[in-house]
Amino acid sequence: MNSRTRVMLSLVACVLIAALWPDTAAAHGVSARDADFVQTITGMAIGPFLYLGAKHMVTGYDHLLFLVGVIFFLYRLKDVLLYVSLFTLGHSLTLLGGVLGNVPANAHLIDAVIGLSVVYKAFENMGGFERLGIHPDTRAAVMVFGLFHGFGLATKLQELALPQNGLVANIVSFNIGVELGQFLALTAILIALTYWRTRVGFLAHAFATNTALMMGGFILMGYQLTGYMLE
Amino acid sequence: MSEIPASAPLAAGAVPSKATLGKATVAALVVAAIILVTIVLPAEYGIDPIGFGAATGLIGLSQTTPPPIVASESGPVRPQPADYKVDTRRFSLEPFGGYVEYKYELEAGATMLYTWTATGEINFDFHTEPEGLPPSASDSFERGTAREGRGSYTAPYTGIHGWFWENDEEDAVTVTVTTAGFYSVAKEFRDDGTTAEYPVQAVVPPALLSPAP
Repeated sequence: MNSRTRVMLSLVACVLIAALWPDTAAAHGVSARDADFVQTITGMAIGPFLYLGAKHMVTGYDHLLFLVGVIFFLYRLKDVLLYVSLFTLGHSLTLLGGVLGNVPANAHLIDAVIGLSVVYKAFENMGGFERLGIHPDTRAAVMVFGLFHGFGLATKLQELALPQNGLVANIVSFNIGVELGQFLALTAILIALTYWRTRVGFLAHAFATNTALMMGGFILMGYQLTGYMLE
Repeated sequence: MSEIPASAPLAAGAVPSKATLGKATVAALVVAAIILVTIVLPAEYGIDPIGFGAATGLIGLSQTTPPPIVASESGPVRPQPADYKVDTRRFSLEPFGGYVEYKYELEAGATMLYTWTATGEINFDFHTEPEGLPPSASDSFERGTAREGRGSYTAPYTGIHGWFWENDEEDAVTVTVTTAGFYSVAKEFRDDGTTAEYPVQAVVPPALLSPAP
């Protein structure tokens, strides 16, 4: 396939994804009704926080886009487990540390970095670093961006002004919920990717797909940086 | 199906030229910028530099003005379905979780005025129990932590309507509530499991005051 066809395909994929992407622009926080509910909690509430964590992940397109990028070229289950574990380790550290240590962070800036993580991963999948002759450690990158994803989760929880009573149990529940949600989402993504890989078109469209992924990352960045400037 | 490489980034032959990479990256940036300017920014922040948001109505998503108040058909005057009542009651709440629920039976459209004060900060929740429906049908209209509250309330449907007050602090708190309105019975639910019902008498007009001479 020549380069012009590739670029054309990338553009078509971008426009298609943008058109089909439901609710591209919705802020990805905790819904107002869930937030109201959390305000009424005065102690340990393991079930609700498990659910909120899982829901946050399953409906969190920023985290999902990054995960799609991470496992896009991972064919062996062993590799999927390794990279997902690194991501989990990274985001759990900052989720727990950020909320318990009450670390102040700007949600818009963190979310912009999460957008950047999608751009980065897409560029890597496009063979960008290889072409430029630089070889950043892919495992370290997933781990470091995982730290930012966890910080993003922490800022959402901090906005809720959680009661101190039962805080640790609630955050750990939220964290476990995040992992359950991630497992569900990953299963769905893996099934789709595995099926697609059996098709001849996979490698042919991989470049276009990752260009579209990159565009998604750019949109997230623009959205969050604008939000930051308007603050 | 062709043989698929075991792992890692794109197969060596698939590494694109710098030109392709550059074009794709620029394409992603340009499309992202177009989508941001035409769709995301108008819908999320009301920023609409080229007017696409206004043309498509997307800009409405960023404007959360409350719906205008529509005058009722009968105008500002609202006839009420029950007799006029006045009621005052005082409750003592034990420290660390003592609570009371105090509610009035109101028909749909019936109004009451209220004021309450407490000797310390307490949690409150103004909520309802619609008649003939399970507790899950309850609506909560106002919640928070405060020492006092006052206002008016018009029942959206028939049922019992009122407060849940809870004392989370380490000292006992006394809460005093006074209401005036068009309710019938008042109901009380205590934290020790007891319930009480107070029939509220219609206000008997005081002896007529004759106008000043």
